[in-house]
Parts: sequence; C-alpha cells; structure tokens
Amino acid sequence: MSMRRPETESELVDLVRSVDVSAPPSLHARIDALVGESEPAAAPRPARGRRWRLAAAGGALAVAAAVLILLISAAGTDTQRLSVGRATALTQLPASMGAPGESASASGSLDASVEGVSFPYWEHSLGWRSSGARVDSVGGRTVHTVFYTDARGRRIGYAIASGLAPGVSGGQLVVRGHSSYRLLSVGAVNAVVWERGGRLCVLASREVSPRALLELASWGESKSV
Amino acid sequence: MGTLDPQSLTMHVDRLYRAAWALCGSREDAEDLVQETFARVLARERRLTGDNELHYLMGALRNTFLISVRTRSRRPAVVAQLEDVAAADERPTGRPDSMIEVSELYGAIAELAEDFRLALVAVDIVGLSYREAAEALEVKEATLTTRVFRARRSLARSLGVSVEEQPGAGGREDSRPGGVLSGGSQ
Repeated sequence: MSMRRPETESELVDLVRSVDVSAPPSLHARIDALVGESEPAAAPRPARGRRWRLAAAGGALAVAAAVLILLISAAGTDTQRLSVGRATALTQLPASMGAPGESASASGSLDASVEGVSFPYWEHSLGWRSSGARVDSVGGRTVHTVFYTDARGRRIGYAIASGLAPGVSGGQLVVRGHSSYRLLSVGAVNAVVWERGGRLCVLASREVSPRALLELASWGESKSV
Repeated sequence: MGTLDPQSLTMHVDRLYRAAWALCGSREDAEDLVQETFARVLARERRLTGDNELHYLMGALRNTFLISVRTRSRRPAVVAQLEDVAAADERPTGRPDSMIEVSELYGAIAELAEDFRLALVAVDIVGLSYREAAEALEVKEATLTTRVFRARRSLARSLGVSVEEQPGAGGREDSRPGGVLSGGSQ
C-alpha cells in the first residue's frame, strides 16, 4: 500500500491516522476461533494456562483453516454460484486496486459502477472516503467491491455483483421507500443486502453496526441510483 | 461496570493489528502479538470500568507487548542471516521518494523510543483520546500529551518531514487537538 509522502508534520499525523490496513483473514480466523473457544466462559474452567492455550491453538488452527478455505473459495474460484455469503466474504479481503474518485459526470457517485449501478460518493456528506477496490469473479459474475474508511479508521466494503440478483432470504427485513433491505450477520461480519437496478448489493463491516450500515445503504439508494 | 463481551472484541482486530504492526515493526510479529493479546484477554471473564473496550484492549496490547519485549531480551541474540538483511536503498540519488509504504511508516514508528511509540500508537493509530490513552498506558494525561508531541516530532525527523516549529512549543502543548478520534468504534 503506497501513500503520498507527507511534507509537513501535520500531514504526517493525518497519514498515520488514515492508514487503513486490515489484519490478514488468517488472523481474523484465529481470533474468531479464540472467541468461540471462550464462549462457555461462564462455566468454571477446569484447567487454564498451558493446556488451555494448546487446546485453543489447536481449535484455532482448525477453524482458521476452514475459514481460509471459505474465503479463498469465495474470492478465487469462478465455479461456485454467487451467494450473499460469498459476496460478503469478498468485502473482508484486502483492496487490490486504488480508490475510485468522485465521478465528474454523476453527482453523488464514485467513478466506478457495475452495469450502470454506480457506487455512492460518501466522503463529503457522510465522512466515508473510498479507500480501495477489488474486482473478483464468482460463478461467471463480476463482483466489484469498493472499500470505504471513516476518520476513526473503521472500514466497510460495498460489493455490487453483475447479472440479475439472486433471491435472498433470512435476516431481518427492513423496508425503506421502494427498497427492501435484509440485515444479516455472516460470522462476525455485519451485512446489509439489497438490490439496486436489479443488481445484488452487499454493504458489510466488522466494525460498523447493522443499523449504521442500513443508514448508509438506504442513503446511497436514494442519492445515487 | 460491565463485562467484556468476547464477540464484540472481534470488531477491533484490524485496529489492534495496525497498532501491533507499528509497535513491532513487522507484520508477522504483529499477528503474534494480537493473537497473544486476545488469548490473554479471553482467558477469563473481564470487567470493564467504562464502556470502552478499545482502551481496555490497548492496555492489554501494551502489557503483552512489554512482556514479549522482556522475554525476547532474555534470549540469546541471533545474528541476522544474509538473506534477512534488507537491501540498501537503490534509489539513485537517495532523495526521498514521492510515495511512502505502510511498512516504511510503521517501521519508523517502531524505531521510536518505547514510551513515545506506545503514546503515538494509542492516540494516532488506535484513535483513543488523550485521557483514554493515558489510562490505558498508566501514565498521567500531561505525560501522555508530551510523549505524543515528541513522538510525532521524532517520527517527522526520521522520515525527513519538515517540522513545524511553534513559538513556545516546548513539548508540553500539542499542536493538534487531542481526542479527535476518541472513543468507541460504533
């Protein structure tokens, strides 16, 4: 990740604060496994220390392997059908492309779109600046993801898949205006799923609540479709 | 006083990872440090005096980091292998490039004195307010403020960034507002 070299101390501080590097998926998986291991913590633990650590490490490795396989299969293969889980997994991967800028021709949009459905520009109005992007292929569909970051360093991923959106069920259904949004949790990731222009959109984050994601998703709907 | 919710901790992994990377100067060591921190925190039920998990985690990260530093210092020193030694800067003039990599930035932070490094990481990378950072690092807020100021200045000098001299700026006052990025993550 390259950034413009700061020229003043003030720019340097801004740069330090704005770095948006995510932990590797393997680390997330190991932490998720540790958290899962700690869930029965209400009951007294018979053995702590070395034995617990070894068991946790073993469990962590197993779950890490499983989650890694899931993430890799979601990101890297073209033979599997698009699903909300796979689209959400893509939002948790690192950016592989630079951040798209604000569109010169479409107000409130970024200079990035999928089959006419553009990504919203949120920096000025909502304080979420685009910080990177990636493009993947799943089941013959192109999934374009734009990452946004706010001043507190929180990161969200906004994915739009090409082709007609597959049916989505489950989660909490919220209707706003003419759109229906589903609030879901995919592992430790909060996600809002909806359609824009017949395309599947997923807005997901580990750090932002489902309700906050819904506000962003519904704002983008009204402003940039 | 509340109890730390293990599930909610996972939302801070990215931020802790960035903090750990800047403390250690290496991504691999950062992964180990974050994992060890979570293992320690999750080993038993924790009670929070406030509602800010992040500053609790920063304190845990700091403690785990200091323990790992002390443990490492007791081990025999290993002489670097040839393949481990980074190549010299091949830029023809040695002039600073117009771009900077995260690894260079975090590497420079990792070279700061330990107290300065922890202060800068807590405020500028984790995003704690000065008060929260002072609590997490177990120092007075005035001390923390001075350390952040000096850490930023040292970092600027090490990266060849021009330092903004201010009349009367002796290190007691910070030129930037503290707590801009304060508080929780929701």
